[in-house]
Amino acid sequence: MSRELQDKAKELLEKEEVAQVIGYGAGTRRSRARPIFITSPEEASQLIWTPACVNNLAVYLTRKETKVPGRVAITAKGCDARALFVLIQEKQIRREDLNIIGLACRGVLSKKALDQGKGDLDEETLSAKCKVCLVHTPVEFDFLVGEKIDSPEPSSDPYEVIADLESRSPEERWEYWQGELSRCIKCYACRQACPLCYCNRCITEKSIPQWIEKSPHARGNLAWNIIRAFHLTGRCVGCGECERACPMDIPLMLLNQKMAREVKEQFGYVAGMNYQMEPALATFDPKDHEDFIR
Amino acid sequence: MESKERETEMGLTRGAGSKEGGNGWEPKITAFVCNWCTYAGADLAGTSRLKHSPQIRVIKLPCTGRIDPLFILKAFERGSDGVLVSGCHPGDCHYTSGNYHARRRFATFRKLLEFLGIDLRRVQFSWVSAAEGAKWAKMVNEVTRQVREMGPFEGYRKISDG
Amino acid sequence: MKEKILSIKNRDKLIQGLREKGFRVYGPRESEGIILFGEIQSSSDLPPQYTNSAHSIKEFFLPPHEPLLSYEVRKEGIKTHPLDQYPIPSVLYGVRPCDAAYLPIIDKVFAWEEKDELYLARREKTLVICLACEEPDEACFCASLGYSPTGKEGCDIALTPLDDKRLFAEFVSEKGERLLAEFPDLWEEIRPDDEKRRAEVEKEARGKIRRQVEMEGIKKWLDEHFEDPLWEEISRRCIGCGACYYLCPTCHCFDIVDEGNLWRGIRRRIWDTCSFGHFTQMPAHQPRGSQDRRYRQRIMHKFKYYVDRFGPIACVGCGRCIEVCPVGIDLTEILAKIKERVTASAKD
Repeated sequence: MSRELQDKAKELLEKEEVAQVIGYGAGTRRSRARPIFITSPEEASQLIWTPACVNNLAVYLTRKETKVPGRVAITAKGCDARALFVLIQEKQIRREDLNIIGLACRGVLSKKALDQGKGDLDEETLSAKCKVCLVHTPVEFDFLVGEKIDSPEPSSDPYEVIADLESRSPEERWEYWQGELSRCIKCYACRQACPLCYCNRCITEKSIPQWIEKSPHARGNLAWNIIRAFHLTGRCVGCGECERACPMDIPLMLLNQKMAREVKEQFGYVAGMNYQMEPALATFDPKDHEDFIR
Repeated sequence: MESKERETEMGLTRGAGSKEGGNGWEPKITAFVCNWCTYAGADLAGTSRLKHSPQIRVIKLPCTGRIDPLFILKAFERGSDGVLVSGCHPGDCHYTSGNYHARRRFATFRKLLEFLGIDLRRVQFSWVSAAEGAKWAKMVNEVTRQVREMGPFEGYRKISDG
Repeated sequence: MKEKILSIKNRDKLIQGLREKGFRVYGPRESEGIILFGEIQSSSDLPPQYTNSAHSIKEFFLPPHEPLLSYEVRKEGIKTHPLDQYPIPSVLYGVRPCDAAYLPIIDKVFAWEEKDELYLARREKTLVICLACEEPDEACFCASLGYSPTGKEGCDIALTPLDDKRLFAEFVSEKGERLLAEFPDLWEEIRPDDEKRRAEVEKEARGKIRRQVEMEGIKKWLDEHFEDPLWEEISRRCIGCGACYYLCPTCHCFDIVDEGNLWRGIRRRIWDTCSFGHFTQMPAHQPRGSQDRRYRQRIMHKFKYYVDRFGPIACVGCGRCIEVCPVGIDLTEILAKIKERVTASAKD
C-alpha cells in the first residue's frame, strides 16, 4: 500500500498537478511515523502508510509556515478528511486547492501502544477513536490508497465512561473533572494539534480583558477546557489529536465526544461528513427544540 | 495571608457581600438579558411596581445572540451563584434571528456545563417579552428561590484559590 | 565525599523519619500508568519499576503558577500586599540524575544579577535525594552531554542500588551530610567491594543508553549560522504545541499576570514558552512571527546563548522532548544534522 501511495504522489509531483504533498514518513523512533512535506518526485519514496500514521495532517493547511502557493496533495484517513471538510465548510481552504489522497484505514495505534513501542494493530493496541469510527473510507477523495472499507457497527463504546458520568450526581462529575483538569498546565498542545483550532488570535490570547485566565490553576483550567470544548461543538471530527498531544494525559476526547453526541442527538448533525451543509451552530431551524427555556 | 483568602477578602470571587449559607446568606444571580424584549419587560415590572427578589443583577445586551457562553462562566468565576439568560420569543427577535442562534448555542452549552458537574438549576433560560413584566418578576423569584435552596456555588468558591 | 550504605529497610525508615521531622516527602507515584512526582507517605507508595517521571522536578522550584502579591487600586494610590511564600521544607526522593543535573545549570540564571528570591528559597529548603537510573529509556541521551545515569550533579545525596537490598549513598552536599547526623543509625559502613560494584552498575546503565550525540563543533556552527535553511527544514512539522518546553527541566520562561479586575487582583507568575506565537509580540514588531524562528530560539538558547552567558549547555539529555512531541521532532536528530554540516564543512 505504501507503494501505491508513493507512486501516486510521484505522479502528482511529476505532472506538476500539486506543488507539495503532505504525508507521513518514518519517524526516528521504533515503528513511528511523522508528518513530512514533499516537493519533488524523488522524495515520494519517503511516504509510508502504516498503523503508526496517527497525525491529522489537516492541521498544516492553516499554518502559514506550511502553506505553499499552488495546489496541495494531502494524505488523509477518514477522520483527517472530515477535518478537511470542516475547513472547506468554514472557508479556510478551497476544495479545488486540494488533492485528497484518501487512505482506506482499519485504524491506528493508540498513544499507549506507541509509547510501549508496539507496531501491530489489534484490539488492544487500537486507538479508542477508531472503535467508533464512521469513516474507515474517507467520505470524499481524489484517489484512494487501498480498497474501500465499510465501517462496522461499533461492538463496544470506548467512551462509555461518558454514560457513566452522566448517570452520576453533579457533585461527582465536578470532582471527576476537577481531578482530571488539575493536571492541565496550559501548554495549549491540544489547541495546536487540532486542525480546527486555527484562529489567528485565540480567545486565550485576548488580554484586554483577559477572558480566559492564563494561569494553570483550577479556575483557569476549567475556563480554558470548557471554552475549547464549546468552540469545537458541532465542529470537532473526533480525530483524537488533542488527547494524543496532551502531555498530561487528560481525557479530552470525553468532552469532545460528549458534545458531538449532543449535537447529533439535538440537531441530527455530524461534523465533516458533508461540506455542502451548514455547520450546526452556525445555523438554526425555527423549529429547534426549546424544552429547556421557560 | 494566602491568595485564596485574599481573593475572597477583596471580593474578587465568592463571598463578596455575602456570607456562608445559613447566616443570612443571599444568592447572587446574574441575568444576561436582551435589550428589546426582556430588558423592556423588566422595566415594565418596575413601572408596574411588581415585587421580585432583589438578588438579581441585570446585564443588558442588544440580543441573546450576543451572549457568549463565556459570560456565564465569568459570572460564576466572579461570585454568582446562579445565572439567568433571557430574551425575545422565537420569531420576535429585533435582529430577526439572534435568538435562534442563541437557542442552539445554549441548548448545547448547558449540556457541557452539566457534564462538567454544574447543576443546571444554576443556569436557567427564558423568553420574556416586553409586555411580560409579570413573567419577569416570576422568573426572577423562581430562579432565586431555587438557587437559595441549593446554597452558594461551593464548587467555584473552592477553585478560586492561588 | 562521604560514602555510606543505606539498606532498603533503612531507606523506608528514612522516609518515615523525614516526615516525622516535618519534611514533606515527594517521590514518583504511579497513577493509571503515568508516573508523576507526588507526596508519598511511605516507600510503599513508590512504584517498583520505572524509568522516569513524566514531568521533571522543575515544578518544585518554579511552580506552574505562583501568587506573588495582591493589589488594590484606591483613590490614594495602589496598595500591594505580599502573599505567603514560605516554602515548605521538602525532600524529593527518587530523582533521576538527569533531572537533578538541571539544578546547577538553571541556578545560574535565577541567582544572576537579580536574585530570584522565591526560586532560591525553594532551593534552600529542598533536599534532593537522587536514585540512579538502571534502565535508561529509548529517548535518553544524558551521557552524550557529559552526564551519567548514576551521576551526582544537583543531588544532595546520590543513591545507587548495588542490588535489591542495598543502596550506595554518596553525600554530595553539606545539606545531604546533615542527614548523617540527624539519622545516625540508618547508615552502614561500605564494604570493600561496594565501590567496585557501584562502578559496575554505572557501566551497565551507560551501556543501555542507545542514543548518541556528537556535540563537538555544534556550538561553533550555531555561532555562525543564525540564518540557515536548516531552521525551516527541521521545524516545518512543528505545530508549536509547547509540550516539549513545559516538560523540559531546563526551560524556565515565565509570564507575570494580574488576575482580577481593574480595582483589585492577584499578581501571579506562570509558566510561559517562547514557542507561543505571541511570546515576542510587541506593538511595533514581532521578531519571531514564524515557527522556524521560534524553533531556532529553542536550539540557540539551550546550546549557544546559555553557554555564552553561563557556561553549561541548558540540556540534560532526559529525552522528554523526544517522547512527548506529537509530530516526531527529535532533538538528537537535529543535533546530528548540525553535526553533519560541521563535518561536511570541515572537509571543505
